[in-house]
Formats: sequence, C-alpha cells, structure tokens
Amino acid sequence: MLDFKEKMKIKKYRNSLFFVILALLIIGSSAGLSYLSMQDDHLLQSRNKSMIRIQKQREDSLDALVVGDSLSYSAISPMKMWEEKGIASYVCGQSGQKLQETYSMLEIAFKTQHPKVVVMETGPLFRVRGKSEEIKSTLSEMGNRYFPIFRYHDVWKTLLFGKKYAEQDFEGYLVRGTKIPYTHGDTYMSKAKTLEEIKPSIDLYMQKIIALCKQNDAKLLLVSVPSPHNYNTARCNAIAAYARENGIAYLNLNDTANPVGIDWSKDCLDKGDHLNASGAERVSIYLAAYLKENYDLPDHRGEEAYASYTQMEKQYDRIVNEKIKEIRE
Amino acid sequence: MAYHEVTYLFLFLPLVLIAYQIVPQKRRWCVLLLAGYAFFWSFSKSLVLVLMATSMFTHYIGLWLERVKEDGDKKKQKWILFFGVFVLLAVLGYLKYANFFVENVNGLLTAVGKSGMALETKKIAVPIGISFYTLQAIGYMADVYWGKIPAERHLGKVALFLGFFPQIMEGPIAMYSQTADALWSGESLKSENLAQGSIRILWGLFKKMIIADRLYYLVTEVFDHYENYSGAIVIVAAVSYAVQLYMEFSGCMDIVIGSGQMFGVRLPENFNQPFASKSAAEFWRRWHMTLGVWFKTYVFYPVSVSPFMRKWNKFGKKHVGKYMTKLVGSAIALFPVWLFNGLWHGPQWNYIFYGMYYFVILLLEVACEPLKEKFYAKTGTSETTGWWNVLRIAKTWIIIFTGELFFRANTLTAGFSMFASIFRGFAPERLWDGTLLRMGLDLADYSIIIAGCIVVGIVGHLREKKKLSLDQIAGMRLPARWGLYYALIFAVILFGAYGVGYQQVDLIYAGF
Repeated sequence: MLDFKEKMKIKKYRNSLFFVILALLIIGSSAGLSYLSMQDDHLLQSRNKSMIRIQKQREDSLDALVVGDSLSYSAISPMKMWEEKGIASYVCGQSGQKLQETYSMLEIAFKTQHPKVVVMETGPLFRVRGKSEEIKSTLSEMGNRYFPIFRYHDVWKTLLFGKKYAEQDFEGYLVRGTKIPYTHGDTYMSKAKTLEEIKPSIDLYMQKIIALCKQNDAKLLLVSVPSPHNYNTARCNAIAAYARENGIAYLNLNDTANPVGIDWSKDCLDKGDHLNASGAERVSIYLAAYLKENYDLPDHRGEEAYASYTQMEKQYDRIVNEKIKEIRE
Repeated sequence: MAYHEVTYLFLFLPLVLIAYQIVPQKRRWCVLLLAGYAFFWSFSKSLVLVLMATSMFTHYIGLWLERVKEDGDKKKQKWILFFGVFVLLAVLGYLKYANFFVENVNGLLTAVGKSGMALETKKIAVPIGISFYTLQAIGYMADVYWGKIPAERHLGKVALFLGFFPQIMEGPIAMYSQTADALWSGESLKSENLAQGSIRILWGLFKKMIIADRLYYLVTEVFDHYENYSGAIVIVAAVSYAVQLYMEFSGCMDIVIGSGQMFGVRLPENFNQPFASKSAAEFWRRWHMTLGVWFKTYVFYPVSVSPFMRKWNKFGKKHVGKYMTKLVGSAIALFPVWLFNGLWHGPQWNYIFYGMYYFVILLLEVACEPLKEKFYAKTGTSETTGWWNVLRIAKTWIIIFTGELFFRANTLTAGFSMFASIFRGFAPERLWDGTLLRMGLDLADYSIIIAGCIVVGIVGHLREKKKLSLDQIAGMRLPARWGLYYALIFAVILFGAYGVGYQQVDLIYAGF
C-alpha cells in the first residue's frame, strides 16, 4: 500500500504531466497552424494576413516598414514609393490595430527584416479604451504571439468547408477606389496650441516599440496621414510634443499648409476618415521623397533581386491608374 | 472584466486563488470580499459604495430584527422588515425604474395634450448586479424575520454573502443558508475542487463561445431590422434567441459555479435541462431556478398564506366551489410573482408583457388541470406516455420561443409586429435562398452551432438520466478523463467565436 505522502507525490507528478502534455499539444498545433497559414494566406481573414505576408517577404529585402491601422494601408502605397524613388517597403497595417499588435507585428518583422526606418501611422495612439480593455488587449496579444493557435484558430473553416479569404493587395497596400468627399473644408486644423493627452497605457507600449526599433537599428518615424476624422490640432500637437520628448521624428501630413496637396472633394474614401487611391498616391509621392531625403534609402530599381517589384508595378499601374482616373474625373 | 474574458480567466481568478491560498485561513474571507469589490469596481467604479451601503444596511436590519424578536414584539418586527425591504426596493426602483416611470408619465401627459408639464429624465448610473444582490439582501432579512437563520453579528460575513465576485454579475441568487458559511470558512484550495471547477468553467465557455456568441449575429440582425423579415426567418430568430440565451446564461452559470467550486463554495444551480420541460410550470422550475425559488419563497408563499387568502379560501369554498377557489387563489398568488418577474428583468414594457404572458399561461395550466385528468381517463394516456410527452415538450417549446420573441424584441410594439409577421408571409424559401448566410454567419458557423447544440443536448440527456456528473467524470479512468479535458479545451480554442471576424458579445443577463 502506498502511504499518503507517496500518493500525493504521484498526484503532483500526474498533474504536472497533464499540463506538460497540454503545453506540447498547444505548441504543436500552433506550429501546425502557422505552417498551414504560411503555405496559403488565403486561409486567413484579412486582419491576420499581414502577420503572415510580412514573414513571406524575401529576407532582408525591405528598407522601410509601415505599421498602423486602416489609415496606413489606405494611404501609403509601397508600389508608388517604389515607382517614385525605388524604395523597398511593406505595409503591415491591420484594421483597428492596437499598439500591442503593432509591437507584435514589429517583433515578427524584425526576425527576417532589418529596415532602416519604421514608419508608424499614429492612429493607434488615440485608440484608448479604459484600463480593463487595455489589460485585455495585452493579454490577448500575448496569447496570440506565444501561441499562434489563438490567432489562426478558425483555419478549420477553410480546411473543412473550403472557404477562402482571397484579397488582393500590393505589398500590404489596399487599393480603394470609392470617393465620398469630405465637405467641411480644410479647417479641421489650426495654429492653436491645445494638446490632447497621450494616455499612460499608450506611452507604455510606445516605449516598448521605441526600444524595439532601437534594438534593431531602425529609425522610428511617426506619420499622421491626412484624416479630418481622426486628427485635429490637439492630437497632432500632442504627437509632436511626444515625439520631441522621446527624440523621434514626426511627419504631420494634416498640417494647415496641406503639404501633400489633398483635394478633399476627390481624394477621400469615406467623408474624412480614410483616403482613396487618389489620396494615397499623393501621400505616397510625398512620403517617398521625404524618406529618400531624410533616411538616405537606397534606390533598388533595376536590381535583379527586386525583379518582383518591377513585375508587380505593371499590374499595379493598370489597376490603380484606372481607379485614380475615374476618381479625378 | 466579464466572466468569459481573458482578464477574468487568466488574470483575476488565478490572482485571487493565489492570494486566497497564501493568506491565513482566518483572513481568507477578506481576500474574497476585496476581490468582490475590485470586480465590482471594474464595472461600476464608485457605485461600489451602493453595494457597501446595502451590505451595512442589510446587516443592521438583521440585528435590529433579532433584538426586537428577543423582546417578542411581532408587530414591530413586521414593520422593521417592511422598512428594510422598502428601502432596498426604493433604491432599486429609483436607480433602475425612475426614468421608465418618468417616460411613461410624459407619454401620458403628451397623450392628453399636456406635454408642457413633462418631467425631465436623468442620467442614472446603475450598479452592476443590483437586481441580484438586492434580492439576496431581501431574502436574508426575511429569513431572519421568519427565524430560519439567526442574524449575522459580523458585518464582513453579510458583505461577503452579497459581494462574492462570481455571483455579482448574473447570480445565481443564493439564500444566506446556502453559501454564507462556506464563503466564511476559508477552506484551503483542493486539487479536486480546482479540477472540477475548471472543467465546469470550460463547459460554460463551450456553450457561450461556440454556440451563443455565434447565434448573436443572426439574432441581432433579425431583431434589430425586424421590418425586413417575416415568417420562417422570424421563427428561426426566436428559436435562435432562446437557444442563445440558454447557452449564454447557463454557460455563464457554469463559469460562475465553477469559479465558486474552486474555492470550495457550492453555489446553487440555476438550470436543469429546461428544454426537456413538459409544461410552462416545469420550465420555470428548470430555468433560472434561483429566481423562481426566490419568488416562490418570498412572494408566492407569503401571499398564499396571507390572511386575505385564508379568507378567500373560506369564502370561495362556500360560494364559488373548489375549482374556482383554487383558480382565483392561484391568480392572486401568481399575479405579483409574474409582475415582479417581468419588472425585475428591466424597465421595459416587453419585460412586463413577458411576465404577464407566463402569468396567463400558468393560470391556464391550472385551469385546464381537470380537463387533462378527463383526457387521461378517456384515452388511457398518462404523464408517462411517450408520444404524449413528446407533444407536451413540443407545446412547451412553442410557449418558450414565443415568450422569448417578446422578451428579446426591442420594444413591445416590435414584438407584436414580429409575432404578426410570422402569419403574414411565412416564406419558407428564405431558409435556403441564402438569406441566413447574409447575417454574419457562414455555413461553417451554422454547422458548428448545430454540432455544439447536439453535444449540449447529449450531455443534458445524460445528466437528466443521472449518467453524467462531475463526480462521475472524476471517477473515469485517467486516459478517458484527460482525453475529455483536452477535447474540451481544444474545442473552445479552435471553435470559439473570438478573434478576427468575431465580435465580443457582452453577457445578456448582466444587463438586468
């Protein structure tokens, strides 16, 4: 007969074994699902695609990496920047991206890429939803990062039912051809000195992002793309002050001088929230010149290693130019 | 930080368990109480003061009742109880129903052309779970008054009874004698309790995340745009809502009861396979059982044995016969129960209608009792006849689904409009013409909902036949038991409606 102490010891080992097996199963299935997703990113819904697609980019091929929410992938076109200055870039934007996700995205991207500059669209800096929600987002993203089974869990839908989430993008940029003008004029910005507070929870993750970029020798550039719906003077002033305090560059494209030359009657997708293909072209031309001038990014045009860009350029021009023509007519 | 969220499951609950275990047994109640207030704070912030004040008031009334009881002054005891109940109901009434009252008064004033006299509505913040802890507090006072329990001397014990964190949002509505001692005892955590609690929580997540959170899309689409739908689609929505509500509420109860079990606290059950009911009365003995028991104990019985009812019984038997006496007596006792039941769910006319709907149906069941007996005698059927019971269950389902249609409708008018639309244009072809696939759910979602319901149905059947319980699972051979645990964990992880493409769905009953 086993005595009580021994029984307890066996029980302890048995409980530990249960969790070891569980961990192995979760890690194993996470690896399996990640592998499947890497093979075919149409298995995934759009928000998860960029996480996979950035990993599929040729190693060390990118000089600029763009992160942010839907403002980023609606306004910044890597193909246009390629055409203009030969910049090799990729947009890892996600709709409603939270800073926790931005951090994960960069962590994953830095595994295979060593960009000279990380362009961070500043929309997520004001996506604040209370402490409880922030804790939830942090925990959820930690789960997703360490156990991708949580991120890719509904791949079974495609595997069992053949449903695929096909979506065409150009290096992370989504071509948006609709035009619904913003009709309140250019007056959403002023010279006032008001400041909107940047919440501590945002600062916490921003500091992590700044450190991560530093660690990977990438310069961080904050960019606010034109969007009356998301930006105002107080917000842009706050970002400028924050950037100054932390020694980061900041490019505000909402400036009263309208540096990009946005025509709100034509370049707007949805009444002042996102830009359409026409607006994105203007932003990308401006941003390409800015990046070239300030970060000395190499011009890869004509290089054999970047032949895929040249191939994609033709298709891009065909689709986007037509849309821009329609929009600007 | 609702019970199905990662913050509760992977941060709050584990932290409370650790803190509970490392604190000396005598002080463990403090950990649970602080955890309750922290949990409450996460939703209602400073309104936690309302819960604290309710606890102090309830404790004081208990002690007052006890003191007067020692003096033998029955009348004064009654007045103290009346005062205690009145204050608690007044607070609940003001916070929850004041604006409803004002809106209806304004409606009447407008109808009689006196809109200039309209009153102003105020923005009133309602503490989370007020409907649940108020009923527990009233139950405590009544139990002390009836001498079922002695008044509690320690304020902390009453406060913990009202503020145990797993119960705050959705109950179950416990009686003091059911949970207070276990909460207070501070028993050490046991691996059996942790394991059984965890499996119960997983089962709750299965129901909530795999089934209920998917049905939410269909239900929301049809009920929020009811003008666009009729006939078969409205029936599907009503059935879906009943299933959603059951999976969600009972799933949440599994999480709550599982959480309690981890601390060695056995909370009362709230559901017992309600869809196996053969009558509306039986349904309410199986659905939201603790609310039913509360109304039965603290409203139905007191009314049934009141001097007025005794007088009526005497008078009725003499003048209107046994049948009518029973029927009218039932009506008198059932009416306040179902009026309060409807009102308890919230300040909306469709909830009041819902209560009255069941009042009428339950009264009809009482009225038809002699007819049923005659039918049994004539046809040779009985309560055990299989085919007859299938028909009875089907009838009960129709009653349930119709009731839930009005319960979920955005307004009472919308409820009637949806109900009428069932008969206006049945349009069965909309079930297969792709309409259902345009409601945020695809074929894979419908398949997993059906598969999930089958699993829940089988488990329910086994539990009904007493062939499956947590103790039986604990007694299984290790490979089978672990296999079951892993299957449940992976079912929730893989098939749960969370992450990209899904919306986080708030707990329905937390809004009541």
